[in-house]
Amino acid sequence: MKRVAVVGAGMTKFRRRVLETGRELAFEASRMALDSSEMEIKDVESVVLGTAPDAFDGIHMKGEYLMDGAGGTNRPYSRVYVGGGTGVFVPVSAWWHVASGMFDTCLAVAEEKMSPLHPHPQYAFWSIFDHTLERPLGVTLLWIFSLEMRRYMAVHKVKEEEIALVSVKNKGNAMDHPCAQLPARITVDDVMQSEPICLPVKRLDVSPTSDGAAALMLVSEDVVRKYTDDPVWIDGVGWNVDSQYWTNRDLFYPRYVEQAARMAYNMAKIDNPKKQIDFAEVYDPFDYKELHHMEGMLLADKGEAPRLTREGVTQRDGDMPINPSGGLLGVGNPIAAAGMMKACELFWQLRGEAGKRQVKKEVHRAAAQAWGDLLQVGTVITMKH
Amino acid sequence: VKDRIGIVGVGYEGFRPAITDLSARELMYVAASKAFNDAGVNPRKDIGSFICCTEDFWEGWSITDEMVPDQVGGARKPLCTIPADGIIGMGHAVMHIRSGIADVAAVEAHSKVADVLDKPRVENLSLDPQFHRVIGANIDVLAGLEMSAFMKASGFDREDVSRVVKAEKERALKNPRASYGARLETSEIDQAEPIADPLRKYDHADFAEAGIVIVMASEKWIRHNKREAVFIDGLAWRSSTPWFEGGITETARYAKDSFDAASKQAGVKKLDSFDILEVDDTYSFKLLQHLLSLGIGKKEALKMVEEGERGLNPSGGSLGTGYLIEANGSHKVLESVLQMRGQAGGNQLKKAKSALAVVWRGNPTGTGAAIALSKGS
Repeated sequence: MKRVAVVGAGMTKFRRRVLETGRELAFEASRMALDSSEMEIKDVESVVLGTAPDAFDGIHMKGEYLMDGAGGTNRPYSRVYVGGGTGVFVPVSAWWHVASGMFDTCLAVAEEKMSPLHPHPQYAFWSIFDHTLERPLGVTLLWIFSLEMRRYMAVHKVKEEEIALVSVKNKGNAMDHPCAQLPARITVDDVMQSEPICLPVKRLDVSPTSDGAAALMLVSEDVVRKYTDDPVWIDGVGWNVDSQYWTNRDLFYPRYVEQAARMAYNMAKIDNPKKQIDFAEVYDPFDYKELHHMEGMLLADKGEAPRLTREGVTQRDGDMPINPSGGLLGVGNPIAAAGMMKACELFWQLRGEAGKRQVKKEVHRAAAQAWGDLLQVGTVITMKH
Repeated sequence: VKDRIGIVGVGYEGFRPAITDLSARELMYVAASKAFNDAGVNPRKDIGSFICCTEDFWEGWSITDEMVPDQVGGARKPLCTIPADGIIGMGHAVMHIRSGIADVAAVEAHSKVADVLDKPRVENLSLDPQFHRVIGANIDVLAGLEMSAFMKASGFDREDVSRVVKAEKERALKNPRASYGARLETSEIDQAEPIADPLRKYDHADFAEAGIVIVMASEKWIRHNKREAVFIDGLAWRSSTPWFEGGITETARYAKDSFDAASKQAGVKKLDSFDILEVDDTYSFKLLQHLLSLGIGKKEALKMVEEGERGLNPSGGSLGTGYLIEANGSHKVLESVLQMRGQAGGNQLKKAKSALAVVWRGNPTGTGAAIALSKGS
C-alpha cells in the first residue's frame, strides 16, 4: 500500500444561488487545487468526483455531466456517492486510487448546486424516503432531524440553549472564512428566538442550502517531492453504512459514525482520539449534529459534548477545536462540497495556512467527518502533518 | 494488474424483460445470496467492502445506497455507490483490495427498469440542460446522428449494420439468459420502424431486467481458502469528451483507451489472446465501432460479427440479451465467468480460458471500461 499525501486544495465561495453552472463550479475548484499544487491537468492521472442527489439539478447521471468541468476527460474518471457523507468520501476514494498503486495522482472534486430546484432544495429530499413505508406520511428531512435532536436531548438531558452554543460558535468562526455564506455574530437568544421549523429545530439551528465546489489534489509517496516539500499525509480512512431502517435503532447515538471512525483510527494507529487528534471538522448540518458527531467520533464521551462546548473546549483557542472553519452552519452546506470543505480545512490548518482561522495551538493531526443517507452513513478521514 | 485479484463467486437473477415477482431490493437479495453461496463466503464475516452501481433516477429513489445494505448483507459495513457501470464498480473493488481495505469485496449491479414508466424522459434528463435539451434532442437522436457519421466515416452501409442485429439475435437464441433472441431477415431489420434515421427499431437494444452480484478476492485469500477463481488480469475505464459536436466517429476513444490500458496491465498485445470477446452493442453500429476501436479491420470486424469468430459475444450481446443499464458490464463479466467454468448453457464455447469485455455507459456519455479475465490455476 502506498502512502498518500495531499498537496493542494481549492474551493469556491459558497452561496445560496450562483450564476455558474455545476460544471463551472467544478472547474473553478479543480483549477484552484491544481494551482495550489503547482500542477497542470496533464499531471493528473485520475479524477474522482462527488455530488449528492441528481434531483437537485434534475440531471440524470450527474457525474457524467460534471466530468469535463472536473478535469475527467480522457482519463479514468468516476463518481462516488454516499448521500450527505459524499464530501468526505471523495478524498477517501481518491486515497484508494493512489494507495492501491493504480495511480500516482488523483484529483478529488466535490460539487453541489442545490439552487436549480424550485421552490426549495428540500423538495429533493422527499425522494430519499422509502416509497412504501415513509413517503405516504409526507415526511421531510427536517422531521427526522427533529426526532433525532429530541432523542439526543432526552437521553442526555440537554437543553436547547446548550445546543444553540454550537450555532453561535460556528457562525462566529465563519466570520474569518473568505468563502462563507452565513457568517454571523449571534447569541444563544437569537437562536432560541429564531423561526420554528420543526421543533425543537429552529431556523438558526440549521445550516443554509447552498451552491459551491471544493477540491483536493492527492499524490503518492513516490512522486510527492516533485510537487511539495510540505505534504500533509492521509493516514486513516473509514466509512460505514447502517441499515436503511432508521426507525429500528436508537437515534441518540450514531453508531455507524463510531464504526467509520474506528476503521480510520485503526488504520492511523490512533488508540486515544481525544489525545491524539488536535482538532476536528465534524459534520454540522444542524447544531446538535456537531455534538452527536463529536461523540460518535469518540472525541467526547456519550453526553459529554454539550459540556465541552459550554466550557469553551471546542472553541478555536480551546483544547479540542471543533469546526474552526465555521462548519456548515457558517460556511454553508452545498452537500458534497461542504464535506470536502472540511477536508480542505484540515489541509490548510495542518500546513498553518488557515489565516485568521488558524487554531491557536500547534496542530499535527486532525480528522474530518461527514454524515448522510437516512441517518445512516459516516465517512471519516484523518490527516497528519 | 499486479497483486492478482480474482472473481470467486457470481450470482444472478432475472434476465427477463420484466421481473414481476421481485422488487428491486428482493432482486438484489436473491442475486447476492446466490453469489455468496457460490463464493462460499458469509457476507457478515468475510466481506470487507460492498459496492453498488446505480443511478438514482433509474431507481426512483434519491441516494440509492440507502436501500442496499440490508439486502446484500452490508449493514454497518463499508458500503458505497459507484454510479457507473458494474465493471467500473469492480475497478473500485480492485483498488479496495489492493489498498488493504478488504480481502473480499462484493459488487452489485442491477436493472429494474421495467418499473420506470417513462424511460425516454429519464434518459433525456441526462442531456445538458443548456445546450441539448432545449433543441429537443433525445438520446436516440444523438445515436442516429452518430450512426450516420460513423457509416459515412467507416464505409459500412445499412445492410452491414443489419447483419450485426441478425447475428446477435441469432446467437442469443442459444443463450438461456437472453430475452431478445430472434431469427430475422436483414430486410426486416432494414425496413423496421425508423427511430432517428438511419437508426431503426432493431438497431437499439431493448431493456431487460436482472440483478448480478460479483464477489472478488485477493489471490492470497483465494489460495488460503482454496477457492477456484477467474483472475482479473487488466481493468481500466476511461471517459472521452461528453460533447457530441465534432470529434472522431469511426472509433470510440473511451473503448480504445480502456482496452489499451487493460491489455497493457494484462501483458497482452493481440486480441487473438482472448477466447471470448464480449463487446458492447447498445446500438448495432456501436459493435462495429467498438471493434474498430480495438484495432480490428473493417472486413474482419464484419466477419467476426456474422460468424461469431474469436468468441465474439456468445451471449448475443445487449441486442440479444437485453440492455441492463449499469449491469451491462457485470453481465459481460458474468457471461465470461460462466463460459470459463463451462456453465454457460446452450451458448457454451468450446475454448474458453480467457476473456475481454468492453462496455459503454450509453448516450450521452463518452465513458467506457474494459476488463481482461483468465481462468485461474
